Amino acid sequence: MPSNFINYRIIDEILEFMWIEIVDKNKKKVPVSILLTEIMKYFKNPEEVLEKLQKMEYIRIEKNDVVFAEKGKERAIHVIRSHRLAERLLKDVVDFQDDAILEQQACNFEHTIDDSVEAAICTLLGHPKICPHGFAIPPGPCCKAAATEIEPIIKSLNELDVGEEGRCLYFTSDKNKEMHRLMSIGIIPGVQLRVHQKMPFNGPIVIQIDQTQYALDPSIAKNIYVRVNSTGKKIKLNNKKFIPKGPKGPKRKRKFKGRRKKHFYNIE
Amino acid sequence: MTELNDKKSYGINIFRRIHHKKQKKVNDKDKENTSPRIILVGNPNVGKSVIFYYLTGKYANVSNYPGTTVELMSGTRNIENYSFNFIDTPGIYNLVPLSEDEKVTKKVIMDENPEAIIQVGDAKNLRRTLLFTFQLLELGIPIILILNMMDEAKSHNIEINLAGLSNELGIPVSGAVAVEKIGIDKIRKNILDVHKNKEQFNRKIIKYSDDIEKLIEKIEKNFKKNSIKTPISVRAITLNLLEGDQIVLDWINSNINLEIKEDILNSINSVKKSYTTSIVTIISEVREKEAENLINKYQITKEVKRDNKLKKDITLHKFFGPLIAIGVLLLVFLFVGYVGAILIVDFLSTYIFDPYSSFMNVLITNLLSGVAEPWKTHLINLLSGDLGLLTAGPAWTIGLILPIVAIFFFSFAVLEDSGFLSRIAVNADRLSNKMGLNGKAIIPILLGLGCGTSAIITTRILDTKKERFISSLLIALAIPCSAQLGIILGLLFQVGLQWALIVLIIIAGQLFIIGYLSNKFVPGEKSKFIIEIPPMRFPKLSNIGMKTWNKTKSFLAEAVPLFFIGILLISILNETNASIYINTFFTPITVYFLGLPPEAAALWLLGVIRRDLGAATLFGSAEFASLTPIQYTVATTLIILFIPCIAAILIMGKERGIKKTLLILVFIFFYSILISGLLNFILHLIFGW
Ligand SMILES: Nc1nc2c(ncn2[C@@H]2O[C@H](COP(=O)(O)OP(=O)(O)OP(=O)(O)O)[C@@H](O)[C@H]2O)c(=O)[nH]1
Ligand SMILES: [Mg+2]
Ligand SMILES: [Zn+2]
Ligand SMILES: [Zn+2]
Repeated sequence: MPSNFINYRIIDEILEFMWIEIVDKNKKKVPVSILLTEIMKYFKNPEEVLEKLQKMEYIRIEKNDVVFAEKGKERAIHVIRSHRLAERLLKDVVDFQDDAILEQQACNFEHTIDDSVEAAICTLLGHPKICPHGFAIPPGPCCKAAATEIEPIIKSLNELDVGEEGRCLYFTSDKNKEMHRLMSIGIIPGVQLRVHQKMPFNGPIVIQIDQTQYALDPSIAKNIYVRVNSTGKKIKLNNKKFIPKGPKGPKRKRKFKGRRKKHFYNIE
Repeated sequence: MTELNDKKSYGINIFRRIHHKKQKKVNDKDKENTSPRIILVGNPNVGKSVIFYYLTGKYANVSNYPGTTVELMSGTRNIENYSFNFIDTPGIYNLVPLSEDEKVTKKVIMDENPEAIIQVGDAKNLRRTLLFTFQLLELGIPIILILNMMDEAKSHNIEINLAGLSNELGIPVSGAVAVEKIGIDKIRKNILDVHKNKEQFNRKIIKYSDDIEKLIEKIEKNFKKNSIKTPISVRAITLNLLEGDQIVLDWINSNINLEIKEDILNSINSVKKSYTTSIVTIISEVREKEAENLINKYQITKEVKRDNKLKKDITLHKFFGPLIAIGVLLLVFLFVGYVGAILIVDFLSTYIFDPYSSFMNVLITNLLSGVAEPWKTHLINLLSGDLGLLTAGPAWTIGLILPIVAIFFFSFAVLEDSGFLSRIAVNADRLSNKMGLNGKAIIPILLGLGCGTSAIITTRILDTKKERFISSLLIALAIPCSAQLGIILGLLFQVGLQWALIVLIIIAGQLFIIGYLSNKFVPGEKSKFIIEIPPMRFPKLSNIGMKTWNKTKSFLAEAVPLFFIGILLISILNETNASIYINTFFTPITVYFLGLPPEAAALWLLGVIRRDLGAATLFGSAEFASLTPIQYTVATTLIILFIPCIAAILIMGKERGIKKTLLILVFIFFYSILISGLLNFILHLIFGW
């Protein structure tokens, strides 16, 4: 189709923009005029793109506003997920520090990655809920499926075993005061911590930072994500297939079954 | 005499000083005190109060759990010829207060115009210390940093380049082992240095992201333009407001006119909104990076020794932990009840107070031989009878209360100083959750076993109104203070151990049931458990002695006058026969419902004055000598559950408000009678009538 210069990359960018407006900024819909200005950044003739998106059943135009159509939402979720998972991967696992390069890499990622890789990365990271910038990562099918097949290296603090150590990465609580308190005692993204004891009956978790021990309610610990220090016995990436679910995958021992609540993302 | 004698040990100094130094709170300090203020701040449990003691000679409670100090304490003393006014504060983790006790510290910094702030930090936790130092440096007030607990740092193989750190931070930094009195002179020298050349140049100031820095600049300009004076730097005000500081907001509200205020708050909010992550995280991460940086530069660690003792810490063991916690508490009860209330009290009464009372009786009778009847008998009874001011007065206060209370505070001091209290809190967390509390609430509740008043003040360490209300209610209802506990245990041990056990179970049951129900019905939220667990330390005898002495003294100061008043009151009632009317009036309850002799009505009257006085009456007066075990059990249960003493009620009114206090009292009044009556009924059902 020679007459059509609109590539998927542009479409992805537009869908991504819409997602940020509609979901992250909670605006419900995007005015047509704003979307047109955004498209202008990528393409000379924005109306054409809009029309194409409608034809592909990605968006619907209601009066002067644009909303997602079902297919568009699906694609947007995939793009956003890939982008933010990539950020997490680069930041937490590869330990990449430069923010600008990180952003650029993630941007490339989002267009090329396919569903199964996305699921594999998500699983590896322990189905993270937020990106390093604090935006929510919409859950994919892998997050909703309860079973995890490979030992994630990013875990929430209360999934760590007694004696395990790790580096605090991020929090997923919306309670400001709680986070504030944690950070004031020194549980800040970046610090090393170690699980010293877990009290019975889902009781407090005793952790150690530097030379001090703290006891935390498990519901707080649940919101603290930690990159587990590798002790050698962990994952072997090379000879394991990243198949998030299915009968062939090796069964993983789950120590804390049934306790993990499923978090469904609220799009509306 | 301005300097403490270095040769003398901690304890001896303490005992010498206690006689002529009165503890004074900051709020009622003499206003004319113009000495420059030096405020001691720092994380909880790092040794501020120990250092305060050495700087001022005033003993503030020192214990090995976070949250020992909940009120400000002030003391004035010279260094060379300069007089300084020192203030000891509750420990905080953060300059932006998140709970009541933390507010106190921030407020004193804002209100008292300090000449300098001394930060006491834990040398083995440099990161946490520095995170706090950075915030202090932003205040624009001269800072002196003390890295205390150098002994423990050393045993972890941690060494710190103090000179380098001092250079980099631009403030004096020194090390100390406060409990051994090492490094105190250096602190004094640093204070003098700061006093003489007031300006500190090159204090390290952390730079945040561009938009935060721009915001600070903008607000600084705004303040300058309107020539507004601030107690702390505008940088600190801006950052604190970003982090949601209520105290700073209050200051803004009452010191800045509406227009400028709106302007400032709007620009702060717009920066806050421009971040999707909480701004607190952004700010903390910058500080953390800088702390990490300084640690790498100035902390020389020869392979940090992981505390092997900690690994084996059996007090935090999954199964033994709770068992040990219960065991230790029972041991304390046994010790206080048996050694205190039986052995020592018996000894004192047999060899001192019984002979003394008979002697007094004879003496008074002889002295009053000329007085006409019926005054003579009345006076004799009033002064030297069973409930005589000169006989029961000293016998109950010195012969009964003093030894029991002293023994209790002694054993409790061992618990406090060892670090066991925080561990009990961890073990009890799950259970407390059921009562709308978290494990931290165990600390004030256990302190209530010492003295209800100070326990109610300590509820300030709890985060939410609901928690403070429930724990106050439980302390008032079911926690007997040391004196009362000792007397009752002593009594029950003599009646039979099984009766003591019944009372214990009933009381513990009430604690749980009422806690459980309040959780259901008291509105509000429970905060989540976050507590620091201090290392187990070997208690220092000097500090234990000091603390026992101090607490016993203030307990007696509160109790003794009320005891005498109570004794006088009850003898007057007896002599005027008014007690007969009262007893008759209450007969339906005392006799028919509770199964006690009519005289038990007096227990209540006295109980309102002091609960332990009620208990002492049970212990000491002849009417009660012939009670049956069931009657003893019912009576003691009633006394324990009954409304707390006047002092505790007053403090509760102050801390919780009149309305809530009245609610608690009315509830307790009826509930305690109801439960005791039911107990009477059930015990009779089981053991026969
Ligand atoms: N090993 C050691 N222990 C110390 C040192 N200084 C203080 N301690 C102990 O640390 C504990 C806490 O001391 P406090 O003076 O009560 O601490 P604080 O900072 O006033 O604590 P809060 O009032 O709770 O904020 C006590 O058990 C002291 O004996 C020290 O230099 N070395
Ligand atoms: Mg203190
Ligand atoms: Zn992101
Ligand atoms: Zn997932």
